[in-house]
Amino acid sequence: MPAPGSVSEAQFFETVLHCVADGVFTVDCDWRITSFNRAAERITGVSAERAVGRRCSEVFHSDLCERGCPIRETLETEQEVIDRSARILTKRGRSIPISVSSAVLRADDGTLLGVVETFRDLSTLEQLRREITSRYTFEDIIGRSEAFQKIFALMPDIAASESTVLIEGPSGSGKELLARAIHNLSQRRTKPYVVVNCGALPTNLFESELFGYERGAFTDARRDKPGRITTAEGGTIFFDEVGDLPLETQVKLLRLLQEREYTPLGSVETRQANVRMVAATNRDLSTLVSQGRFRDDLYFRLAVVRLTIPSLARRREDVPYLVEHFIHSFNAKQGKRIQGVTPAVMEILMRHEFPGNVRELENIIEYAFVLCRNGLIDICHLPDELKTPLGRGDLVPARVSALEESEASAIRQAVLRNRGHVGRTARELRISRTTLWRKMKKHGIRRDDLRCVQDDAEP
Amino acid sequence: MRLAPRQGCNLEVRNVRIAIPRMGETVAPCFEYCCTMAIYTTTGRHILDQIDFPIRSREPLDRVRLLRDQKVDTLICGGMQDVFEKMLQGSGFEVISWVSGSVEDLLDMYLRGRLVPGTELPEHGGAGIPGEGRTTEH
Repeated sequence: MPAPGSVSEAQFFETVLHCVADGVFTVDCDWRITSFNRAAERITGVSAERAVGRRCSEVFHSDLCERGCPIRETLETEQEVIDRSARILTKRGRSIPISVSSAVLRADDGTLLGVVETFRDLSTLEQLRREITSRYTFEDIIGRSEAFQKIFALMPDIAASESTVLIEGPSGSGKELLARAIHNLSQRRTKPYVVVNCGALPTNLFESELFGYERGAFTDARRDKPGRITTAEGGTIFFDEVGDLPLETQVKLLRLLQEREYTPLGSVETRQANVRMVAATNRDLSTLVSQGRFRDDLYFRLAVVRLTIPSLARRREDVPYLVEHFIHSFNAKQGKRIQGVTPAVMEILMRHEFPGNVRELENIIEYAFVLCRNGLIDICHLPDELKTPLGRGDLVPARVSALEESEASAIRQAVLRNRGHVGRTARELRISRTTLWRKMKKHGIRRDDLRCVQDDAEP
Repeated sequence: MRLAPRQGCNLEVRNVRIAIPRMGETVAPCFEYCCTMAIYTTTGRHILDQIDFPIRSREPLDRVRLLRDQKVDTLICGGMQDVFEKMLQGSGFEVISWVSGSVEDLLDMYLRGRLVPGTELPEHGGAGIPGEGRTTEH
């Protein structure tokens, strides 16, 4: 309680509410919001000004609004609801998990005023859990490009069907993520998801690994060993890098695909395979077929449904969304509060070729997280190869002489060494500040670069 | 008796199927978890019929499949995840999302060509604030 004469009781409680990390709001008996604290604003993305006076369902868009509304339950039973799991939609259309508690609000005379609800953002927890369990859905696939829109449009049908899916795309483009999403959306999602890396499996072990063996099948086969197909029973088996399979093993996989049956080594019994098959490759299988290095009958069996993920360089419009996603992900994992990247960094990333695709972008952001303590990721936090003129695309004029390039490089290094301080950089280079500014302009060394280093240098 | 269409005058008005997830008389707060999907068949500004589909599943994709199976052209809904919006748009649906208010009033606004994403209508009708709710790129 406030000390007499200091602040009013209302002010006291308002200050306390605004300092609470959990979202807190109150509603009247018509579900209209009467107060909304700062954490609630932060979690939902809706300002208190907009929220107050509106029905809570219009602000939270929760899965509980129609089934299992805790406010309704509290109003009807006058009992508290504690830690009920729910999902809400933020203003930006992102679904986040929360836990909700509610209790009745009464006036001094016992009149029912409404309900107070508190909610906790569990998105960080959920993300970490997903990382551990790999329970990705297609909501985890980040892509706004036309190529991904086509894939998204097919997802409801692919998930509902039992057809074999072939995912083509360069290394690091997210083929396995897509395969997992297909499994997690399908009716088989409660059953196992088994990955077979065809490139890493020795030819002579392929059959025993895939189909298993029985005791006595060969020397040292002292007990039955189930194969990957048996392990994946009822679920999905994912053949990664299927294009790397040697010809002699392709025929074994073909039989499995055709007949949906297999025989473990040393067994005389043929077993039915109740698995859905998804395969991925970073090679152009049709070219391999024409070269005679991949069986055409296997190719056509695999490519019942064919999804192609283009390289990141061919869908640059996805880069900003991926950057946002990775920043959100690393913030959760590393407990940081990095807000984003500077326009200069985004420009570099938008021009970069990304030979390593999405995985490379993820690594770049992870590297930047090591150097950047808070605020925005800037050029100084990027790996060296991105700071070079090659990495920075045409920020620096392409036709510069070697001498000019050396000058630009020397200035850039000096700027970095002096943590963006123009005066110190000019002194080190023994030129005036004016000359330094002019040369920086000439070589396309941006003022933003300096700001970043200065900001970051502050404790 | 059917009248033969006169030359130069197009008498054929295409039927349009409009889906609105509803919660009672108002638009449901979230497309992915709605319990009832009202599907209207309209021609011009007239409503020909309405069917309410109760949905028990909690799987969002079941709602997407329902829209496909029912050959819906336009979805008018409250909140929805970006990913579903992109999926539906990628499949050729017109999506008018993040609207709120009475289903009847929203449908009326749509048929008059005045409904835009983010429209918020007061619960008992009225002028409303088109596009005030949420910035949606279309």
